[in-house]
Amino acid sequence: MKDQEFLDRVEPMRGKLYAIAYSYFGSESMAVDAVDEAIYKGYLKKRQLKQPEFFETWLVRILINVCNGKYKHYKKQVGIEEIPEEASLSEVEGIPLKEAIRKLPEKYREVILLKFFGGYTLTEICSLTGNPQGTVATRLRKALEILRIEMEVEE
Amino acid sequence: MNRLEELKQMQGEIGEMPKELQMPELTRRMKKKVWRHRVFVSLRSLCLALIIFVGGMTIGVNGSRTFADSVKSIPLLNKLAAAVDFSKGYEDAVRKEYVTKIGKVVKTKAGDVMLSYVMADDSMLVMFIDGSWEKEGYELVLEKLVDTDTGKDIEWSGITSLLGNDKQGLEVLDPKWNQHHQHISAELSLRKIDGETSKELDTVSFTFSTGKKLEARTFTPKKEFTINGLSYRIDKVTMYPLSTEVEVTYLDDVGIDSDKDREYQTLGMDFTVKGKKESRGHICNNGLSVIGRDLGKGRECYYLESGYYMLDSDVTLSLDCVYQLPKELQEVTYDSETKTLTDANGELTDVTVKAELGSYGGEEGPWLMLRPNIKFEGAFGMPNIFGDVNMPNGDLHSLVCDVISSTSGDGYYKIKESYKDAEGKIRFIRGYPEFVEKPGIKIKLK
Repeated sequence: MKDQEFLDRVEPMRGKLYAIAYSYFGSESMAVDAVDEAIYKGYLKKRQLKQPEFFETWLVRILINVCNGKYKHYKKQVGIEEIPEEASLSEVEGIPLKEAIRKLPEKYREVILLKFFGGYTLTEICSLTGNPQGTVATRLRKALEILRIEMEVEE
Repeated sequence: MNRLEELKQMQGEIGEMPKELQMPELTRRMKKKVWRHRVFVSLRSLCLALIIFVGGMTIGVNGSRTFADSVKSIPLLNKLAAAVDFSKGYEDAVRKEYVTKIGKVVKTKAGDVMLSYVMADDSMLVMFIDGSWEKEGYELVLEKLVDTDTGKDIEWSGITSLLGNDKQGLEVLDPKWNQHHQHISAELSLRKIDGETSKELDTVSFTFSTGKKLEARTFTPKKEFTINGLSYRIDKVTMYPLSTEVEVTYLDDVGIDSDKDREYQTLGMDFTVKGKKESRGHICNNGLSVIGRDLGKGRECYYLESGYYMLDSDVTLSLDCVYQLPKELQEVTYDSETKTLTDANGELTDVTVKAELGSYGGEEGPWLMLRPNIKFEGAFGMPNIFGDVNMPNGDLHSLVCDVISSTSGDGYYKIKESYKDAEGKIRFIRGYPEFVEKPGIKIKLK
């Protein structure tokens, strides 16, 4: 992929990338940092992308890796304690949604952020996370249940 | 407020995309990072090639070594100096034993990673990383630096990762920071490159002391000069053991890195620090003085090799080149009918349109193939001839030259219909200087 094509493909995706990164940290500067780093890493590795039609999936995956990496440090910094995977409704009872999402285990949080801030469908989230549809649907359902968000999960 | 309403509120909070993510701004930052990355990777490779060539000097660690062997292989100082011979300033510091031995090894899933030595001053930290981890297909990324005395994160910039291209050898991570820190915890991640992306395989943490620092030497020449009607002032020269910073105020315009309003006329400067017999200069051997800290609009900080260890005798700062581009020549118009380039002086003679290609490298175009007719000097030895295009709607769109041939200087630019105005003309923004002035200004520092 040529440099210009890379930039052209990045251009329409910036809003979505920013929204995903922002939803991780709730901070404009951290989101910009993460998007910057993801685009830079993508640029360096663009020759490894064999199927350009998967460009968006590929770049969002890079962004998720970057965000997850940064989020680990961020969590320690601001003292966020993740709730256990087998968490129940009571774990986040009465906590604002923003905080509750940040406390979710990574695999649940990731699905929620991609769904509601990236605007991806379940099928697209499967490609992005590399998980089967059933797994993603279960994770989404479980995350919604913990967060007490009443919504149908399409499969 | 129920959960669905809270969710909508969160979505609404994201707001507009910040200006840092506007394409020209984003592309500029990316180009800068990529350029620095390429320079450093190539310098590391060159350095390694030389070491191997010398024979017997190889300081690489064989992948099959055991943990104990890794510890034994802490390099000697002269080998450290050889490892940093891309910077005479670093080399001086090593030879003057401005290094602190660490020798800490962390076992990872891909082998041992060793922090063998560090050097630090108020401008930067240099970490010598060695070990027997399987380097090919892996990258080691500096994630975080913490001052363990205060518990606070340290702000830093610069090269953050070692790509696993070099199978062997001592590697250098040299983040720049704003002040010296004594006790540090460095967190790195070892990532496996799996084709499309990389996955964290392991984390590597080192806690270490940077040892005693030497204070920087500061000179304030406040030297003003004018070149082609543009005035400048060299405010301050700070010599740290590991680098030199030259702060310049552009009295009449703003510099290359403050291009928000596209008013700049000065594209860059080259400096050298000269001692009795030797000189120290560009941190990168391509001739460009790297732009350092952001000092604000109209001011630039040029970052050079350290001349600190030459200060026991007379030292001068030499301003070797000033690269200027008059505002009226910034815009170059390409006429797709006549296939010609013109600026305010008429048809451009510096660059010729060699061809307009339907496709290039198997990719549909059209592509503009440009050939420079002049030899660019110094920092602009291989310029991006046109860095941006002024779109018909007034927006600025960043361009990346796909290939610049090092022999012919040919550059390939993909052009789009949207670049053209109603008359089929494209307005490019020129990226190379008109004037390369050699003012011969020498400022005696000591």
